[in-house]
Amino acid sequence: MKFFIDDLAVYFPYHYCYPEQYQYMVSLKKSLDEGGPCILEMPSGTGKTVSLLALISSYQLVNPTVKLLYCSRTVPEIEQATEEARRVLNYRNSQLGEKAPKTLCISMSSRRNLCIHPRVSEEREGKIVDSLCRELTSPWNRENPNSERCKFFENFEDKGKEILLEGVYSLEDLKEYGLKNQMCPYFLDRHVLNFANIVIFSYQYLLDPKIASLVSSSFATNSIVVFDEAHNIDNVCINALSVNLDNKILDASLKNVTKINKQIEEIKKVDEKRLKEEYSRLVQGLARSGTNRTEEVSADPVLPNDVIQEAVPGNIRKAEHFMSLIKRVIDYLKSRLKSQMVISESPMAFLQGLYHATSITSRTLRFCSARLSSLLRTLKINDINAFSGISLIADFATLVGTYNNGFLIIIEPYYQRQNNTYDQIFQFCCLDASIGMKPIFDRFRSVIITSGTLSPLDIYTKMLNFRPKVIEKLSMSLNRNCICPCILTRGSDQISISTKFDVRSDTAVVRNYGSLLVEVSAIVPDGIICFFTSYSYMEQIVSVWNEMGLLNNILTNKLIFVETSDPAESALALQNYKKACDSGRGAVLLSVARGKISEGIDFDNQYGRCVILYGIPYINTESKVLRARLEFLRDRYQIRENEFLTFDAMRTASQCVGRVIRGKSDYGIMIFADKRYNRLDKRNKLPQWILQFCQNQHLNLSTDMAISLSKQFLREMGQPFTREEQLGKSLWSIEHIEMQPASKPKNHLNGKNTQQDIQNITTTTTTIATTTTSATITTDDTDTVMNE
Amino acid sequence: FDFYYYFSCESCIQLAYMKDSVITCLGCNAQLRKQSFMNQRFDDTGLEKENSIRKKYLKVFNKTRKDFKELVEYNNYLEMVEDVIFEAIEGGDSALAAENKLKEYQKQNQASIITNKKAKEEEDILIAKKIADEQRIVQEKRNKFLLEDQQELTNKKLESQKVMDDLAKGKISAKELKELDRKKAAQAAQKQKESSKVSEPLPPISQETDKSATTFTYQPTNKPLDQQQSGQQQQQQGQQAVQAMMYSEPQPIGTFKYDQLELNNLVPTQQQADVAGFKQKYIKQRAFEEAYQFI
Repeated sequence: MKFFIDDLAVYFPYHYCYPEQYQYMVSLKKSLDEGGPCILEMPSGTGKTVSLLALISSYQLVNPTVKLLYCSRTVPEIEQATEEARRVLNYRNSQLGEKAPKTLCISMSSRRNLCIHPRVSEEREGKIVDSLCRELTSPWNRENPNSERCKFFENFEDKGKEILLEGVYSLEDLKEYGLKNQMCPYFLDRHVLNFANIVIFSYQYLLDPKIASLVSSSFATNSIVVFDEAHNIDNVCINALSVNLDNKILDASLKNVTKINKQIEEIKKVDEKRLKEEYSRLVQGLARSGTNRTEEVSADPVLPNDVIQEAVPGNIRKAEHFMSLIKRVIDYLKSRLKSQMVISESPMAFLQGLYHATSITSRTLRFCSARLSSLLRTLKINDINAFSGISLIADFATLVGTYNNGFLIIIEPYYQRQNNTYDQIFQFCCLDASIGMKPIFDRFRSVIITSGTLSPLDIYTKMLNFRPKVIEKLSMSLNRNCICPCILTRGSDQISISTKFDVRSDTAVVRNYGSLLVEVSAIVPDGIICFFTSYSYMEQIVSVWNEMGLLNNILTNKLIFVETSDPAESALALQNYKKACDSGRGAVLLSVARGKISEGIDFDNQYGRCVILYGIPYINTESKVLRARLEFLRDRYQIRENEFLTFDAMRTASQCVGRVIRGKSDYGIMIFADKRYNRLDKRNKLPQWILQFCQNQHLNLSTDMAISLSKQFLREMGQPFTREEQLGKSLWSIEHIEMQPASKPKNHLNGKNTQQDIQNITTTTTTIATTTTSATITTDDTDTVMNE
Repeated sequence: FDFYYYFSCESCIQLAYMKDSVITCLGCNAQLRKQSFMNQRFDDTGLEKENSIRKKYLKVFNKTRKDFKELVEYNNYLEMVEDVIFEAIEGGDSALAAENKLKEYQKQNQASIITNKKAKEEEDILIAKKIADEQRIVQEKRNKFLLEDQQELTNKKLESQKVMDDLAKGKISAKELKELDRKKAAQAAQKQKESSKVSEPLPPISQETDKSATTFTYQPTNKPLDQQQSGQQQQQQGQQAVQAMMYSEPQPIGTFKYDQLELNNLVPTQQQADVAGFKQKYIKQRAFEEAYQFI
């Protein structure tokens, strides 16, 4: 359907629209008009992506130069978003008919997901695919007439630059197109990225400076950047700028040094001209100009606005001088790793120590990364993977030479599982997430941060250090209460339960947790998911349950599956869990908050009818890096230690429980089994759409009370439910939307008398008032909505 | 003086110096003094040697960016220095050549070497000071935070202690306290709301308006079902009565019309009461009960 928000015609691909989708689009429109960052929370499963794409693609009709950069976390999420975009654009263009502008929507991923070369694409590991590809496509390889080449790449080089695509291309579509035209999809993708109207890719392409400078540096500043599922964005920023080194890496990089030295010697004998060319290039200060798209080796780890456009210092211009410098840096790092103590120091102190030991200045260090990539290029090294050690060292050198504030160096012993020993690890950690985000906020006109769980919003604005123009927290409009949160503080025997460290292994607590699961498994149909705070706690508690015979009791009701730290094993468990749910046997999945299952895997409908959170999933506070970050947050942004820890735990908790509600037709019970959840400071940090169901009778429950509440809830949910009931409340048709003050069709405003307008407004307010308590479409209905 | 980069056992050398202040090197018969030994920092003795040579040369070749007008010149100079150092490290003839270059340069640039050395020393001191400051500030902040946390904790403790005392002394009743707590919670919520400045959620939650419209509305309230309503209501009333009894304080006994003066002797002092943890009222009551027990 087509409707107006202010003066913008929005093409929405469905016949019905949820009120929160409408509200979301109104806020989005506001933020696009105003420019500047914006932060939006919307319940999961209410069509966030489609409303986002519908509004922005309609916005692009009016402002054709605006580009949308849509960032998501994983490849499946990227694919999903691309399919949404396809639906949105198809609808929009079919409505516009002849007038439809040419649009290109393209998704972007690594070579591993895009390669169609018969031999290279066999490889599983991303790094191997990368290096094999480079081997085939490097300029020096292509100059050599005898070597093997990639015909797809050759074709692209010949004709690809003129190609202008149109339409929507998912990763699969790109591969298909590549196979049809015998052209490399990856390089084609990289090429057309610059002309596309909508680009869908992962966070790293914008946030990791190493990748961003290669891919995203050419995007125009009026682009709209969207970070979807952005609740962990601060961690992504921090990881992108942190470097960890241990003895293994240092040894590998020392080997790299000897290898490179050998190659330098060889080249000197055979082809000295090449080194000289590089040298003269460096003299002229063209360190970076040698890079062109096809021979990308590695880029600066430093953010674009910090790169100094200056010639490489004289003392590392010669290859052997540079290698000697790297060798000295590595040796200094090795000597630092020898101490068995925990050391934390600022980058400035580290630089001073380095200077006294090896006479290397920070200015020289800053150029290491650029100098190394230039050298590797000159030596015609394809197998970058083998030189990852030395490039890591060079990256570190560049970072430590550039940044002082917001970073810290921590050297500490770290436990190695394989051989049961402690090894020193050198951690150069970024403490300030805003460093990574700043260039994006500065560069792009609109930055939109959105997710299902962003509460409390203000901590994000503090941590990422920005002033959002629009903040919106949307609740869920439903015809029936399809979420039943239970805050469980006591067992049936009235003993309070908690995973606080001092009581977590009490028999009473463990028994109560166990009997909770037994009772829940008896009344809840299909799938139940349990989240524990850690693997070790889960192992411990499950073994006690086994001794108590509780596991057998559960097994009479449902099968039990367990997530382990091994991804393959967990995947198998998950697969069989779903099978058990499908077949009607029902199953319990025991997993760990912050594990693989807790994020990104949906348990819709029968796969998840109940989530039990055992304890509050606090992060391990023993980590030195986390301690340093907490101190930094307190100092710089006035975020209290406890505040941050609780915030972090609660966002993990809400991610976990959010797994079960993946749409309005879905329903689920959320049991928070810890007495600490009952406290206001914890509860308030849950997202609005969970809190709205968290009334007094859901608080401070004991097991039997929760069970009776759940029974009643499940009976209620078992009733048939039609779409007619939802219309106007949790589902809006075009008429309802046109009643909204922002979307009255134009002729209404101009033609009819004002009295009707007033009437419209009054009806609007009443609809809003009645919207809340209710909703689900039966699955068939959902399908029809989609098809229409 | 010379450096010799061989591995030696520390205790052996100590022993050798006990006998004599100068020992001769076994490899090359050079005379060695104790001062010329140094601790090994790096694994690679070659690097150890390189670093000390580098230090020695950089002491002389100590021009900075300020000494040059053009960046290119400075870079050329840096490269020249690096070349000289490489020669020196290589040893043999080239080392001699490097030594000569060093001396020559030293002669020519006597003045600038000294001034730069001074500048460098000053800079070093400055940086050292900066680092020390940094560390001090970090430490101070840590202490400050610790103190703040502690203070908060003690404040909280004091507050709850005060409330307990008040309760014990009967200054406030439990009801009043509950009211107070509720007010505080509301205040905190208000504060949080203000600080987060989040706009109101779109549809206000209203349960009453359309209860009749939706037949299958799940009402999470523990509202009694129709059939059992009457029975449960009674039960509820009973419950309420029980609750009222549980929560309300025992009725004050000030209405007894007995001579207060006499009673005062029975009542323990404030301190005694606090220690015992009794409330005054109970004590009075007990005293009465005891007194009239035998009547």
